[in-house]
Amino acid sequence: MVRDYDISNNEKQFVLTALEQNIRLDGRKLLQMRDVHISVSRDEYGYAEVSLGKTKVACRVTAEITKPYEDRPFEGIFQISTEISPICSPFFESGLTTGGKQSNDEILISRLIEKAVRRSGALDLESLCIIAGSKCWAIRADLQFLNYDGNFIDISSIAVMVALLHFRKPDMEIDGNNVILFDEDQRNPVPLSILHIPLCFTFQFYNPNDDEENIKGNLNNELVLLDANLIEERLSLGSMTLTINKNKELCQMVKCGGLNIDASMIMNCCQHASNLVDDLTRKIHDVIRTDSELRKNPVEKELQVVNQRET
Amino acid sequence: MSIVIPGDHFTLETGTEVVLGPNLQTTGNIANPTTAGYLVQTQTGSSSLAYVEADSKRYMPAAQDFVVGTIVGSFGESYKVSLANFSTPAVLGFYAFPNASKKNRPRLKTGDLVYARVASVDPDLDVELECFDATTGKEGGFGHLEGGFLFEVRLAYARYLLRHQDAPTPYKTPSNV
Repeated sequence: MVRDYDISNNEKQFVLTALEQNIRLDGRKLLQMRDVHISVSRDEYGYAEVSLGKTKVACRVTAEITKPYEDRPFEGIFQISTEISPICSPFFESGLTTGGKQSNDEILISRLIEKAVRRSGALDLESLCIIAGSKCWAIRADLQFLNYDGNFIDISSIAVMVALLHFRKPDMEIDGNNVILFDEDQRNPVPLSILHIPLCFTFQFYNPNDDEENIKGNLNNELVLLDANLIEERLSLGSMTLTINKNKELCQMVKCGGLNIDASMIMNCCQHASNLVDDLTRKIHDVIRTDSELRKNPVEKELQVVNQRET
Repeated sequence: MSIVIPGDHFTLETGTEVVLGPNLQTTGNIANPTTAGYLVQTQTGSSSLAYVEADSKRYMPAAQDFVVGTIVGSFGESYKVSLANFSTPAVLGFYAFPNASKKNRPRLKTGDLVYARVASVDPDLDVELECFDATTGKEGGFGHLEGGFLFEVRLAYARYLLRHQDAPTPYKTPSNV
């Protein structure tokens, strides 16, 4: 049996009263995100750690050469693995104790990330094809959830995208039916072809009035909140995830049940998300750019070439 | 104060009555620490107090601890009280309140906060709580907590606040020991 956090009525009342006054526990405004910290590995490709307040996620991207799917001979394979272990919180039970059965929250998180990143075509699968029908790259993104303080969906989408942008696969040459892979020292590894950067924004809804007002009334004073932390997420009456890229293309909108929300309110959320996506995308690009600049060491590269000639 | 680790044992002074605090077990007048930490022995009047001061992530109930818990349900003639998320709930009897009788007892709802004292801890039984002062049988500040907010603090800090009357805190609030 999955146990939930025991949140007392006192805490609930306190949080909700504060929200009605446009204040949150950590001092943010309702539609303000926590600061995003992104760090990428300096010595290897395709590893990113992202934290959003106390929530922390690590993502590693790996690649191998396999046979493409029979029905898609011209496409590579891209998989995202999102198994949430109890490391981040005892709220998520280990697959070993539940017999591989995931909790509803876990399934929802996995599916949302899958839809946001994989099915929005962020990664160009056709560029992963090596020899049609026989060889292609299989890219795999493994997400590790390190700490839980709400909002796994948004942080995961950032982590996967940063790791994909950070990843380099070995350069190669095709000689008839043979594939020659080059070592990192021989040729610079090549980045993946990323078509766009979809980012998720999750809004949580609260109802300051009674249920009847929410369904029949037209006050529309439901509270909307972005980037909820643990307690806010546990108390929320409904959530909506928007996936948007910096070209202002809405890739996904998910609202699974919960509070009834007016269309105009949803439009406001979209507008707000599209304002935030620019900053976040710029931040991601900055991290990637700084990393690639740090890697450039002209002297060292020169020496490597000399070494190779001697052997 | 000295550092002790499990496996150490030392004799307690006989003669006086020694009250054992958390993380100590006794066999006769030999005390064994159950965790690593600082051994604190204080003398107040005729009785002395001994406990091991240690910090840990998970709260293990110890007899006579002051705790704040959330009611998570009731069964039979007692409430189930959660002292920490994802740990086994403790038991608070319907009549473990001052002057409680069948007709006159506090009606607590799921999610209510209570300030209580750990009455007994037995590895084979549920942890039992009581909401009255053990010496006087009076209210003693225990019972249902209304309003406010519950702050989670480190165990060591919570113990520090409880043991030092002049502890520097902005507000003196019962914390989740």
